[in-house]
Amino acid sequence: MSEIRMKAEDVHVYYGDNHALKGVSMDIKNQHVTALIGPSGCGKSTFLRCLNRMNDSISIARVEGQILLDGSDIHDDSLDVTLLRQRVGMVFQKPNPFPKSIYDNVAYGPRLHGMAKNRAELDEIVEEALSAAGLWEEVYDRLDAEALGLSGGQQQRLCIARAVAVSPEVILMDEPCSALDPIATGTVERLILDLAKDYAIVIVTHNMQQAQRVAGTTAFFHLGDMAEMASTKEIFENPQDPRTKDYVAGAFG
Amino acid sequence: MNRTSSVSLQIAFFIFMIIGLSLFFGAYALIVPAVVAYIWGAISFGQWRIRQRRLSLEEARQQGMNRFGLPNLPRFYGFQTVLWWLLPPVLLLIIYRSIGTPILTGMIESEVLVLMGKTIDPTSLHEFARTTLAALGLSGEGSTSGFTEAQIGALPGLTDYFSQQHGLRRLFWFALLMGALAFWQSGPRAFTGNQGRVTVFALALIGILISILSGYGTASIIILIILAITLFSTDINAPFARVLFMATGVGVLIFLRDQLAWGEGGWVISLLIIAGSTVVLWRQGMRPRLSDQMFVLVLLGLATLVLLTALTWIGAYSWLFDYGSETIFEVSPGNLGLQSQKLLNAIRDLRSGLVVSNPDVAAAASRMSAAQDAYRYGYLAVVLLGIACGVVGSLIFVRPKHRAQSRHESAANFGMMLASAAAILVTVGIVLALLSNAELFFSKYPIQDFLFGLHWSKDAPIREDQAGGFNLGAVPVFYGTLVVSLVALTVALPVGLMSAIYMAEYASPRTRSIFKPILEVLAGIPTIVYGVFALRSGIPFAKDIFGGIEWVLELRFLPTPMHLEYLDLAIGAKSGVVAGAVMGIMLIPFISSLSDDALKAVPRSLRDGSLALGGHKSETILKVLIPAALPGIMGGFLLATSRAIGETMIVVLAAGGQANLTLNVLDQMTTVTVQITELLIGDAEFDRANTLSVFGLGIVLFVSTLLLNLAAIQIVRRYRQRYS
Amino acid sequence: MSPQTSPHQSVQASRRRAARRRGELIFRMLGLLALGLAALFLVALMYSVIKKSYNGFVQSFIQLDIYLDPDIIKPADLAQFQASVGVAPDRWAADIEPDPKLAKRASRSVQRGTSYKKMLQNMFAEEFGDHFTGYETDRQRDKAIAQVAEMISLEAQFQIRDRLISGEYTLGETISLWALAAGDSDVLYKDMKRRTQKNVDSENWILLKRSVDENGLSVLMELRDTGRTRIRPYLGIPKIDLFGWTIAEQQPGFFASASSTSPERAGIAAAAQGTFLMLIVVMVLAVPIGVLAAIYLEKFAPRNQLTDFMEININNLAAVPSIIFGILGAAVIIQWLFPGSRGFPIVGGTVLAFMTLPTVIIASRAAIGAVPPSFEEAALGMGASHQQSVFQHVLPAALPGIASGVIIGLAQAAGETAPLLMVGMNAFINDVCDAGAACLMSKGVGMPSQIYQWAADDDPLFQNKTAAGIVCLLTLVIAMNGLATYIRARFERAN
Repeated sequence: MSEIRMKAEDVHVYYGDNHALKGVSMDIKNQHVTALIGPSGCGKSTFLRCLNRMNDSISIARVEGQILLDGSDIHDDSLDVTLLRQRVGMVFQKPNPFPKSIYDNVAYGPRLHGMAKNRAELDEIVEEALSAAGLWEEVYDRLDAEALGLSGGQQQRLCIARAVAVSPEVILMDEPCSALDPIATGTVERLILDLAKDYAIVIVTHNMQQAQRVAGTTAFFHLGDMAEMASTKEIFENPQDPRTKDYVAGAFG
Repeated sequence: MNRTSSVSLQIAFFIFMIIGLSLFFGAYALIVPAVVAYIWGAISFGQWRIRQRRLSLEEARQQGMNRFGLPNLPRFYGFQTVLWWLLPPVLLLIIYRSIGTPILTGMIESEVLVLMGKTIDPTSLHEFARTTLAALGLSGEGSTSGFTEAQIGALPGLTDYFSQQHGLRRLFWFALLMGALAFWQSGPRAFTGNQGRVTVFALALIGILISILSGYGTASIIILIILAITLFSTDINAPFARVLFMATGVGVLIFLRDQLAWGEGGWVISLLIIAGSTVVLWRQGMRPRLSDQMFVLVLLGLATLVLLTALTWIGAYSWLFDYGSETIFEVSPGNLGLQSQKLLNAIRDLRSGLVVSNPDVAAAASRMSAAQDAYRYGYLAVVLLGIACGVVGSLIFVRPKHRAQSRHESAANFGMMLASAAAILVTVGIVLALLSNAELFFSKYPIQDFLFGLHWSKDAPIREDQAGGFNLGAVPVFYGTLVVSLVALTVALPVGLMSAIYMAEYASPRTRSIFKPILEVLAGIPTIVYGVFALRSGIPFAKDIFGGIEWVLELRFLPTPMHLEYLDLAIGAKSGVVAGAVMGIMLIPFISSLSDDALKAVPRSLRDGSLALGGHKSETILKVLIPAALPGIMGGFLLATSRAIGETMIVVLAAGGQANLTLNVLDQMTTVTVQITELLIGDAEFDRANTLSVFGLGIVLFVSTLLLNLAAIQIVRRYRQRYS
Repeated sequence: MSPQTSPHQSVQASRRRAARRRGELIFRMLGLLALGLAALFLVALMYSVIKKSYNGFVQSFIQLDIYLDPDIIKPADLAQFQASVGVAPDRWAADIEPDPKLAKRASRSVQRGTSYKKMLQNMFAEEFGDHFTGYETDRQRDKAIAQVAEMISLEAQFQIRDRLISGEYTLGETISLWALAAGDSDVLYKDMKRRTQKNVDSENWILLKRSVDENGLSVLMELRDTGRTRIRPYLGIPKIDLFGWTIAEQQPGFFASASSTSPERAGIAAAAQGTFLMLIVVMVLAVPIGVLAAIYLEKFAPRNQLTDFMEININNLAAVPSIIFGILGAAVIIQWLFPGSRGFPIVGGTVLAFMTLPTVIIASRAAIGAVPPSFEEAALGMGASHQQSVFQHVLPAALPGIASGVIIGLAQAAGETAPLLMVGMNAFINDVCDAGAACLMSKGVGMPSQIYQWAADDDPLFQNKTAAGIVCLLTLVIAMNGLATYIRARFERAN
């Protein structure tokens, strides 16, 4: 299994005339948490969405540059986008479970991709995913309950379980804890560290302390540029770029 | 929009309106600018007067006016001045016309009687009428001693007339008004929770019982509807509770009246109700004050009572006049009318300069012409008098007063409330008209035969054994409606839903800008156009298509011996499936726009979630979006059904008029709306059972559309919070 | 890419993915197909209507040379009649003494149709006599000639009469006239095919109706073949008066005439007048009440169950089928309140106003609710009362939305047919009403019901008139909808 899961090379994104992302290059390591930090509107989420081609659904968005998953270009015509998204999952800022039961939420992806031959296999997949998300103990007896009846933190973990259920290789997380209270945040952060043992995780966060807690590598974005990328320790203790220095010191953002 | 363009727009609109009105109403349209100028003059005058007073800011603040209101203060006085300048002339005009027109008609009749060579003097007729009425007294039941033979002869008809217009009846309605007010005031303050629901339920049961016992069985339907609406809601607060209480009380009173066979005792009982209500209202704190709305209502009721009684008298008077002329002088009213028309024609000829041959007629005509001219000048005099009164009144009564603004505002508030009530009145009117006439219908034709009968032939000749002589079993008609609607929805739902999905999820802005207007145009096309299209293009087209299908499937392209004969796809002059298909086309934009709204209401995050898991757009739509938007889509479907069953012109032109209970949808069949149209078109008499069946059909139609609409609203409301 | 890196790269999985891709494509195509169907229906509708309407707007004319025989109408009679109706004396013969008695007799001779019919018959007999052979009796021959004369529309006869009376024509001269052709010959000249099972074409239509016989047909054909027929637009102009001044003189045609038993003379003028009168009534009734009610419900009414009930009520009323309103009108207004008012535009307008009221209320409420609360709050902050802030700040901002809602409601009301039929507004009116305000209270007809009248007739020319009427109605409705959209786009501030 290679070290580098995904590779971005000189990625530019334009929203109409607005040059939102200016030449970002980055390596995403496997079994590792990479954090993207920076002030609002500097392109972190935009870049994240490039990695699973979610920008495709925005009609005025134009992506240039190359992004490779395990060595192959994700924009290649022969690659089915649904396959890409199966391999690169995403968890959103605000928990967005479907208005279905807990079971159906988690089983949605596997059903879609035909990952189970029968109900028993599906049950297994669901149980595995919920356990990986740390939710199994809490919901195993009410899998048919409405997913929207769960608390915020539980809903977010459900979304993580949903993403894990399709056996991805990379999990993208767009500020997953910003809508949660501190206790739920702690639970999710512990979960992230747990998941990092098996997946490559890229997390966008506003919270510098969170980056320090969970990430191995951190990249600092500033106004569409990736100013600096290094190990978390390096970024926070010894930033090289002046912009990073200012941000980390709390001067802005 | 800035001020100058807004002003110029208003002026342009005004001029356009004048021109438009005058095209249709001729010189009468000039009245509009004249009246507008008058009103503007009144407002300016009022404003000028108040500005003369030069209220300072300090004075205004002392009087409790807000600073914002001070520049507006003149406006209120302007409005009050307008009221004074308008009401007296209008009132006087109405009175003048109500008195003058009968007088003029009487004069014409007198002249005509003279011309007809009868040695009558109309004064003896007036004498006849007056003495009769004076003897009969207020209630029409006075002493009849000393009556001449003619007067005695008039009694039956007069008694009949009075029994219809009986003053006592009026008194009872006035008593009912007061009783209703008393019930309203003493109604419970709230019906909360389960106890409240039980009380509502009990009141509804009483209401249903009363209406069935008193023979107004169909009124129980309305009570059931109210009950249904009430039970859907979570809390029943004070005003609603009191309305319910009042309605039940009123129902009880009416029931009692019917049961007790009013006679002389009716007076007593009405007065008792009025006394009792007065006591209740007094104890509730209502005092005779013009600012008290209840008191104003009572006054209005009393005034209406007096007015109607007076009108009854006037009516009786003219009835007696006609009767007298008929019996005493042997002139039939019809003949009288004819001769009067001739005199009117003569007057008209005289005015346009033509010569009238008969000298007597010419003399009478010139006399009447003079009288008419006097009457017309009288209009002018009355209007001037009214204006004078109004101006004087405004000078005296419109004065800077404390709290003018809040007075003005509460009056405006009241006016707006009335306007809102108008919408309710329309519903009430519909329900009442349908119910009362439906009752009449079901009294002539049993309701179960109507609802469950299988033979519908409204024009069948009278048969001895049929009630009312017609077959009015409506099941085939209902069936036709359902079939045509089903076909329509089968066409409209897939096309409408898919086009909404495409427009919402797939279409580029350019595609959207092409197809959105297309759908809007389709939505705006009047249904008669669809109807004509169905009749003249749809049916020939369907004939060809189904003929072709039959041709292929019955192997007609082979030599004759090999033909099969198992299909009957012939389409006649009208066809249910064609009407249904065209109705479906009509419904496409409707379903499309409702589905579009429902889909747009689903949050973006759900879409993103599904896409991020690797779903295609179609899978996202089918598995996530449509289930989430389902309440809205279902609601749209129900509303479309409601529209389909109420649709008239397409089915009238293309579906057929014969009731036909058949599985062959290609055949002609009739629907509820077609039958209603056929029954009411032309001059229909509302006393035969078949015309009255319109109301039976109408009630079924109204109740079904009502239930569908309510269900649609409920579904959308109840399931709306599922995702957020 | 090495296959081992992903568990999703199995053959099975990629087959499934291909199937899903196909499904996506099919779904997308279905959506486009649905839109295409809707567009197709619209195009088919418009095409069939516009194509048929062409022949409703143009009519055939036949060039005739008619001898105004002074034996059929005596010059003395004509002069007497001219004197009695006030035509200038220089038109009469100089030695005529106006006498009312003689004038009466003269008017009968000058005004009756048979005089002119005779002139036409004589003309046909003279010019085309050789076509009429093979009859057993003279009476049969005359009858055949008379039938051909019937193929000239009554309109032409009225024209000759009017011009004779006004002095434009004189007796004894032979005038040349492009006469309007009657319905059955019009069908012939316009070459209209009537689609029935027998696929009867136009030539047979005229024979099928027994309007003329074979010889008569040959006369008509000869007229066509020698270029003495032409087809021209027959639009006409209605008489327009403004404050007593005549803006437009009446020209006969589709827009000037009303219902008629002869399809070539049928026009939409009376129906248009009826529709406009009703729309005026709707505006006067529904707009003030509706807008005031909307303001009250949106801004002033307390949020309690009564107002909830009102809201449900209005929403329901908006969805009640229009025929119920028609029943309401028939039962309450015509039967109970004002007997004998069947067919009056004021009654039709009132019923349509009831129908439009909920639409106006709902649209106005939406427009008022769309005004940002900052408008109101700013005014309140300066000390205005609630009413002042609503009427002076919110209402003007909501006005474009309200106006467009009202116009859309009016457009819907203009197109409604069922209530008109219930209320009797489908009378056979053969002339435009010119009584001013009293027109509201005389029997009338509306555009949709006029179309309905014509649509029921199988005569091909009436079908064309139906389509022409539809084109007029559609133009009105689409124009109104367009105006509403324009108002909303142009005047509504970007809130």
